[in-house]
Amino acid sequence: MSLLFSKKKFSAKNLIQLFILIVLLILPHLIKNNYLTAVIITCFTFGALGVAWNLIGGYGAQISWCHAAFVATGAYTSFILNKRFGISPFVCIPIGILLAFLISTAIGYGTLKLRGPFFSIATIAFAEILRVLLLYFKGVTGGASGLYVTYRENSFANLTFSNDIPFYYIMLVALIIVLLITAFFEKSKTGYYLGAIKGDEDAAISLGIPAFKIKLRAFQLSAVIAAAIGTFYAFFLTYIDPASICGMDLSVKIGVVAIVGGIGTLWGPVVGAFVIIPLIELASNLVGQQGGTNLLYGLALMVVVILRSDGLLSIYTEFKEKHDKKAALHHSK
Amino acid sequence: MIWLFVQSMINGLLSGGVYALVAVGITIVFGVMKMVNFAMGEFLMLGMYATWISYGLFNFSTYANAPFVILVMAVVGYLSYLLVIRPVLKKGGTAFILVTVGLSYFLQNLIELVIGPNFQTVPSAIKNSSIAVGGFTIAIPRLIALAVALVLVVFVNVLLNKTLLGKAMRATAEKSEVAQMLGININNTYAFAFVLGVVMAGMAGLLITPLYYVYPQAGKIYSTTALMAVVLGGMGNIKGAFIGGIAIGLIEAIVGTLIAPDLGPAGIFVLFLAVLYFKPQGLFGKGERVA
Amino acid sequence: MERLLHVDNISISFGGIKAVQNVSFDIGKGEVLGLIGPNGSGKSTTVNLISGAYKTQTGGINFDGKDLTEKDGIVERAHLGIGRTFQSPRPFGNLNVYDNIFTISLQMYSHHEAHIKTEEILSDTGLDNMRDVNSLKLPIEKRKWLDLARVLAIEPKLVMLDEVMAGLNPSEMEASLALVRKINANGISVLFIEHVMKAVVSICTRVVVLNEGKFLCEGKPMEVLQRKEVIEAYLGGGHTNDQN
Repeated sequence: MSLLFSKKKFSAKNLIQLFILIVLLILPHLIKNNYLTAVIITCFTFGALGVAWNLIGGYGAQISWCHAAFVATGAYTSFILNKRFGISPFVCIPIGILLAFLISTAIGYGTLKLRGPFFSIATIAFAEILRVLLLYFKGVTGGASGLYVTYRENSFANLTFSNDIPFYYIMLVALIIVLLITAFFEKSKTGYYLGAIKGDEDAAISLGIPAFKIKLRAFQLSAVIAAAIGTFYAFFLTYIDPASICGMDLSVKIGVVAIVGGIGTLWGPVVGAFVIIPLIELASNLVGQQGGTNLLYGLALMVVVILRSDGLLSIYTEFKEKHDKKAALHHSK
Repeated sequence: MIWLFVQSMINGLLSGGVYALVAVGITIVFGVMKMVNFAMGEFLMLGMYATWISYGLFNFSTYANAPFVILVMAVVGYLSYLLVIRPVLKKGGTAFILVTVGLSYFLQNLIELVIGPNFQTVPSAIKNSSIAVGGFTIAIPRLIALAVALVLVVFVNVLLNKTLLGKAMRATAEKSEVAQMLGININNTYAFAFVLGVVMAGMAGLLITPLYYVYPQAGKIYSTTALMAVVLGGMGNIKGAFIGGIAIGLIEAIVGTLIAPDLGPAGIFVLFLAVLYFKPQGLFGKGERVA
Repeated sequence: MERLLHVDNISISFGGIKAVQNVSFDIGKGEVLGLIGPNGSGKSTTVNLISGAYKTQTGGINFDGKDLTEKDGIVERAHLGIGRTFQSPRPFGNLNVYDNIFTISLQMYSHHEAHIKTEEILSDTGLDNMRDVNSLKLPIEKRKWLDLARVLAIEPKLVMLDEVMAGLNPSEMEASLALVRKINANGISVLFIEHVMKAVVSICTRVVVLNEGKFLCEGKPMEVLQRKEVIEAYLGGGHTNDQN
């Protein structure tokens, strides 16, 4: 699927995309409902996280259950530096990114030499180590009680606002940037090599592709993006604790969003986010407790994998292919 | 100090038995189907609930609930196999991982909705019983858990190596197309392996009801630790999985007692990663041929 | 003839089974060397030892003037110019024919140049009209050609073909042989592992015979195939190392 505008300037496709863009830009002012805006912000967030996850999970075919660790890295770095030293989260992002780079390299060396389920299991272990460490060093991280930011005034530099609308635009821009990065990655040399590794890793190696190095690069990029998003997400939430921001539930949620939407595709995770997040909200409103929501995405995961393992996006792409074929037949008559 | 060390080793050995039991269950499924079941902890949790229900219905003492639990777990296992596992058998290992992760969330929260999130207990006469051996305390329920784990593992080993059914299972694992040509029903073999694994996890659940509360998330920690035990021992190796489980129990107890209770789990993960770093195929695993 | 590959006294055992024992031979630049022998004689293992998939426990390998060490893994040797195909074709199943080749070509060229190189390879190997077909949908002999095309993309000096004729009918075999001859005509040396003797005789300048992991003899194809010890090896022996 192409991200950018099609070649004909005034085609229907371009007009629709323009229309969607305009709607997106003014949406929060149309809705005027903070709760709904917050849901959409969450959709953008998990869309972006899912796209990041996809770099290693979809394009790289290595299912990672540790991305919460990278989100937590960005979140805790910025919260701690902001609370103690008053540093703006925007300045903290590069620091969080650097840390995520180092952590993902360490995790990568321990896991990327493993295949399939062994890799997934090992990622669980790493994320859990981080979570336990965050709990243990209470002096710095606040331990199980977590950390929170207090609102004093509207401050862009400190990411504190009286309502969520600024976060809407921040997350929307973040999502667009992440999509652009991924689109470039798809067409880059590393992106191509990753595709070959996914197709047949041993054959790729025999043809000179350094599989481990390539997978590591994808993993590092994925981690770094997750950490950056994690910073914004944390300030949006205003409260973080190890269980919620570094727990396996979050890692699984990120993976599920990408898988349900369309693993290994550019837009899949965005579709997945806009399906899963509202569903979860709906479920928790109907059922009123945590139980119902997890049931739902356990069910969604099973249903998607059993019935349509390419994800929801594939329904659209298949429909489009059939439609294009029919149109081509018509034209040739 | 030494006393503390030895006592914690004993505790660890015993709790390791439960991890080992679940790990062996996972290994059986992996050994036959070459896929990892991420929902084993939840099957353990279901075993705990089955025990609780059986107690509620029949007022049996802890271990007398075993036949009921085995029956219930066999049914649950078979249903899971039919509805969730069989449809994805041809889709590869990734699909299996995802579907069992989905199943684990589903089961956890199904129980939470249907029965409720409250902690339950299954009363047990021997809950606090222990025997004293040379100045150390050995908790009876833990000892029984380890003993049963050993018995079941030996039983599985005999099953796989000495019986016709076991040989069929191993043949299916090695070369499923050939096994099929020889008349072995692959589907039934897979189903049997899966159900066997589930029943073992359920039994592990029963064994720990004297020791822990019964609640929907009770299985989560076992999923993670059993998975690590399996990888630690070398995928597909039953002896390895058993030893992996024991090793994890030991490390958790020692680190938890001697360093800090919160860091017990971290000790496990560090051990796991250290072994993986130096021996990626696990303690007992064999290397793979490349071409 | 100038020497390209010098295999010197290599061996490897797997848990007690001596798959390859003290094997030595040379391949010259531009030569097509056949590697034959009964099942289990160590042919594929030898290829794995040269490609770097296995590490030899004795002796050494010298390629293009360079001694290959433990540090030279599969990836490094591919970049040095050692290419190989596998007994069953191994396409990148998620990619079409074009991308299978293009991806490999990217290792040495920019996007723009790699496109040009891919076009050349596509027309050289006759896969031009199948460029958009998903690689898994190709018929068997085209999949083998795709493997060859992909190996050409690394611009190898030596290509090791592992039973490339297996499963092909006579006309497919002719076409494949023509392709191999074309590749060799460009100066690329070929190590040709085969069971189909017609192909061996047709294309190899020289042949090395392995039996039970050991070097048996070498010489011109027609002449070697008539030797007593070679016929005996094929009829009677070669079962101790049944790994193929």
